[in-house]
Amino acid sequence: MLKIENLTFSYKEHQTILNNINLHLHSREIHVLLGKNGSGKSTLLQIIAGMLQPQQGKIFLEDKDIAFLSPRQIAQKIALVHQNMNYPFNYTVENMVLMGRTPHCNIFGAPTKKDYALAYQALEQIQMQSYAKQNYQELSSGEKQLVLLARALCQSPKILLLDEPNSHLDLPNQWKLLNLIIELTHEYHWTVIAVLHTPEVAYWFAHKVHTLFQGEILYSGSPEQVLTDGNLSQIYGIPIQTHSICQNHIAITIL
Amino acid sequence: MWKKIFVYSLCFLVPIFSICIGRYSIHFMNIYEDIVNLLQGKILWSQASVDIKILFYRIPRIGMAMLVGAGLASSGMVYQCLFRNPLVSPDILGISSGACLGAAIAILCNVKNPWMLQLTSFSFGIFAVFLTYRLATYSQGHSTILLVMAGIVISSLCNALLSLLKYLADPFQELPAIIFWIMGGFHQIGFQELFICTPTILLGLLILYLFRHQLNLLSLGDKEAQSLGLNVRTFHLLFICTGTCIVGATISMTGTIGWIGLVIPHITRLLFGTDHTTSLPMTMLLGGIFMVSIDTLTRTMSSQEIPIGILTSLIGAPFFAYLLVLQPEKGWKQC
Repeated sequence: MLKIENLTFSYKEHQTILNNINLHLHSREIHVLLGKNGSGKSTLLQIIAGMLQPQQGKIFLEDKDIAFLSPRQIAQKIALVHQNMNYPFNYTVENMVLMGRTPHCNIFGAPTKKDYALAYQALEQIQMQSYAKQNYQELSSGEKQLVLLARALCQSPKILLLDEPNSHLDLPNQWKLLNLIIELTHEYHWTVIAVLHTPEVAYWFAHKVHTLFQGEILYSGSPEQVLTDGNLSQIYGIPIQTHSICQNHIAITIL
Repeated sequence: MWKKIFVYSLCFLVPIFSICIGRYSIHFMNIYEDIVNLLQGKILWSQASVDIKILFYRIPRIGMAMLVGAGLASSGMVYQCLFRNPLVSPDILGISSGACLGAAIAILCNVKNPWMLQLTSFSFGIFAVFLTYRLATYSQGHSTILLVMAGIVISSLCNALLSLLKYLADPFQELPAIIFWIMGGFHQIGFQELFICTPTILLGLLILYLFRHQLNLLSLGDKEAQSLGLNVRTFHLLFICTGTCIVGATISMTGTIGWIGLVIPHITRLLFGTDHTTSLPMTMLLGGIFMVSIDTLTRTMSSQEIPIGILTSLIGAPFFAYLLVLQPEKGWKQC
C-alpha cells in the first residue's frame, strides 16, 4: 500500500530532520510513530501527505511515486487529520465535513448531491448527524476532533494520517475516538499512521510502533517488542518503567 | 431564503430608485413613450425629452457603481479568506497606494487624456502589487504573513512618494486635482468608461464566483487546504491576480473608495453565515446595492456632489464600530 524508501529530509542545509527512513505499510494496519518533540514525526506525516518534498528517497503509494502526483491525486488516497482545531471563520459542521469531498469534486470544487450524502453518512458514522447545522467553533475539543475525522472519512482515503489525534481529549473521548478509528480501519481497509505522545495508548491502539530518535527510526515492531523499559528510556531520555496490569493493557510510570 | 429574496429584490429596486431620484427627478411612465419612439426611429436623439437624456446620463453611473461595489466587496472577502484575517481590506497589498501614486504622477505630468490617467493609475496599482509579491517571495518563498508585511512596506513607500508629489504640486491646480481624484466619485463615468471597465470587472467576478468553493479551504490555512487536495500556490496566485485586477480597474476609474471591501463582507457573514459558496455571491450583490445607495446620497444630499470616499467612511466606520462592539465573533473567530 505505502512504501517509504531511504527518505531524508531537512528544512535547512546541515540540519537533517529525517535520515534514511524506510517503512512498508499494508492495509488494515495501524502504525504509531513515537518520539520526543522535534524528532520529525509530524514532518514525516507532512511528507507522506505530499506537503513537503524530501531531499532524498521516494514514497510509493500503490506503486506510484507520489512526487509525480498532484495534491488532488494524493488527497484522493491520503487524508491527514491535523492538530490545529481553530479557524478564523465559523463554518458549520456540515461545511467542514463537506470540504473533505474537494479532491473528488470537479475543478470548481462544487459538491454534488452524492457528496452531500457521503458527508451525512460520515457524520452518521461518528454519530454526529444532529450537529450538522451547528457551528464548528462552538463544539468541544472531542467533538471537533470527531468532525475532523468525519471529514477525513468523507475524503474516502486509503491511508489515514493522524497528527496527535488525542492531544486535546480527555480519557473517555480518547477511548471513543481511537476505538472508532480501529473500527473504521477494519471497515474501510485503511492504513493508519498516527503520531502519539502516549506510549500506553500506542500499546493497545497500534499494530506496529515505530520510534523516531534523532531523525532515524530506532525501533520498529509490535508494541510488545518496541515498548520496553530500555527502549522507551532511550527514546525519551528519562528513566521509564513499564508495568503490565493485565494482558492487553499497560501502565507506564516515570521514575 | 427570505433574506436572499430580499437582497435580489433590492438589486432591482435600488438601481431603479436611484435612476429616478436626483436633483432632477424622472418618472418611468413619462419616458416610456420616448424610449419606444426612439427605438422605432420615430424621433431623433436631439428631439428626445430631458428625462431621457438624464436617464442615459445616470445609467452608466449606476451600472459602474454596481460593478465597483460588487468588485470591492468580493475582493475584500477573498483577501480576508486568503490572509485568514477578517480585518483585511482589498488594499492590503498596496494597490490603492500604487494607483493613487500613478494618478498623481499623471496629473503632475499634465496628462490631459482621461484614458491615459486611468491607464497610468491601473498600471501603477498592478505594479505595486507585483512588487509586494516579489518582495515576499524573494525573502522567504511563500508566506501570507510576509505578503502582508511586504504590502505594508510597498504601501508606505507609495504613500510617502504621493505625499512628496502633493508637496511639490501646484497648490491651485494640481494639488486639488490630486486630492479630488483620491477622494473618489462616479461623476465622470459615462458609457465609454463603463464599457472599458466592465469586461475586466465582470470577468474577475465570474472567476471569483466559479472558484468560491475553494475559498472555504484556503481560509483553513495553506497546509490544511493542500492536504484536502487544493493546489494552494496556484489558487493563491489566481485569487490575488483576480482581486488585484478588479480593484485596479475600479480605483483607476473612480479613485479610492474605502470601507466597502472591509464592511460589506462582514455584513454578509452576519446575514448569510460564513460559507463562502453562499456569502461570496451575496457580498457581490450587497456591495453593489450599498455602493449605488451611497452614490445616490452623494448626488442628492447637497447642491454640490460630495466625494463618495467621504460618505463610505462616514457610514462604514460607525457601522464597523457597531459590529466590533455589539456583534463580536459572529461570523468569525478570534484565534
